[in-house]
Amino acid sequence: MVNTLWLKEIRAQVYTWKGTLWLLIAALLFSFASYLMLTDKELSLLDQTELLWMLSKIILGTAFLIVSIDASSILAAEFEHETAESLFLSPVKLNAVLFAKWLASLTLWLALFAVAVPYMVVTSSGTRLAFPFLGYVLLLGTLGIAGMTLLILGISLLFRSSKNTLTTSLVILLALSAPGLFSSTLKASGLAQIFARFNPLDNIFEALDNVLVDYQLSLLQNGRYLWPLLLFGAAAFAFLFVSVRAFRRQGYIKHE
Amino acid sequence: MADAAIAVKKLCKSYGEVKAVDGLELNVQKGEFFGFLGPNGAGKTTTIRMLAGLIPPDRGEIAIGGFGAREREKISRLIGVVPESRGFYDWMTANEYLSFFASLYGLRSSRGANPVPALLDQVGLKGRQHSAIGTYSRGMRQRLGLARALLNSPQILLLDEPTLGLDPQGQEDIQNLLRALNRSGVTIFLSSHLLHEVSDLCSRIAIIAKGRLVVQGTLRDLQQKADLKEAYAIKIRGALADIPRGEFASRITREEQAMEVGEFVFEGDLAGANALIDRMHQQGIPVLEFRPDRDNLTEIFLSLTQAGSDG
Repeated sequence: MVNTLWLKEIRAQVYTWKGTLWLLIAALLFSFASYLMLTDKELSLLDQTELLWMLSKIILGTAFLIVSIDASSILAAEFEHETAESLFLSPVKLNAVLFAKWLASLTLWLALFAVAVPYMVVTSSGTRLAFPFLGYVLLLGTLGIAGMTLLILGISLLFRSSKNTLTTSLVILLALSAPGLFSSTLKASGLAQIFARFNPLDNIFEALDNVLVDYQLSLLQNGRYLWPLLLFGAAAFAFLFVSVRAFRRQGYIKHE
Repeated sequence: MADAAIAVKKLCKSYGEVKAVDGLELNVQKGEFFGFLGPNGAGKTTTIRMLAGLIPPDRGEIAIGGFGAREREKISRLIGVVPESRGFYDWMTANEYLSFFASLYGLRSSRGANPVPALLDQVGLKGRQHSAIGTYSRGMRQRLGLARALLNSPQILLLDEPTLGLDPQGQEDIQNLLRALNRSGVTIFLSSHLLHEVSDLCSRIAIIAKGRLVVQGTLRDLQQKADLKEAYAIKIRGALADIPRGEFASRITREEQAMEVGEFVFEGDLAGANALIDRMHQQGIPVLEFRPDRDNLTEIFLSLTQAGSDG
């Protein structure tokens, strides 16, 4: 059943002009960034590992944004297009629907990652970081995006509207990436330190900095950045669980 | 209650201050063709959604095929529903759409024959099975919705305005299909605004207004409740002037002659109508159609829903 639902989502979300457009936009963005990094005089003065770190931020930032936008409509559209009623009239389990949609969002992330692979390979050539670079972007991206999409599915269940879900998701994404805009004084404050300790985006980029710039390649050496990501995923799952209960109380179809 | 396909007791559902369904009681027997009538906003769709397990009731009991309202997945294997909402995956073809739902029912993985081609043929969509649903007319979508509802060979069919948007031929086709399904033992719960459809198809009818049951019974029960006389529409071949009126003269009303076909309404009970038909047969007047008067049900509906609203 999950396989049937997942295949339907892939056809509806990824294997469409919209999905192709996302991948094309990502490819153009990665091409532009890679070209600049390899040809721009000022950028080429940077250490190659710094370039890789910048590229990883661009890849993961783009992926977080695209997958969040896509995930905001993957469930809510069922309610907006009135297909949810027919779907839940079949013996399908809500958990199976959510799992299939979550897998479809992760598939989009994997497709974006696949698009990014050639750029990562080219920019990391000459270093011995190609495999750690690919591996850590995949691992950290999967953990972060898995949590983010669980959170978005939970929001979708409560709102049943892609517009409201998208707005909320983008606000959350903005809040998570806000520390990047902080001045160094503000970053040093206690509150910012606590936020950074638990913020999944901060931990992803710190981990990549640790791997690419400081050559700390083992998982153990990056454990302190991985557990906040797992914690974020667990919190997102708990939120989804609560949303499922609220959704069931309201009914599969909400009165208009 | 044991033989009931659908049993509803003191069912209540509110949306904020609005009582959508208020103490509803229904009893539909196995194999019955049951009509569910009510004005807009009477609570028909909410009731069907509660029966299908899509909305939890606030209070009351539902037993559908022996399962409770909260057993949605079990209920869904037993019933077929044509819902009010007309949402389809427009990018799929009819064939893909039904195959998708067949997979959800586990019908595609079993060794049994694929039910999709036969169903497409049954609802008259065989020629368009490979066209995207987005290109379908409203009537074609309606047929596809019915095909989806029939995928799992349901014991109980819940239909919310199943012929809405269909042309007269389409309505006739669907009605014939529903009759055949009912004859094969399928219990049918039909919610419709088309009063003639309900009076033609259903053996018993329930009328609700403002979420409350106004009346439930046969057409004759409803006529008695509304304090209206029984009436039957009769269509004959020949001139209305040739009808052997005799003592029935005062009961023959609303006469209409169109070319060789005459139509009139007989106001009286079934025995009286049969006596008149026998007399016409003796005189060699062919009777083309004999049915309960549709306008009579309109009068009953208006009379009872008005009374229900006032009460």
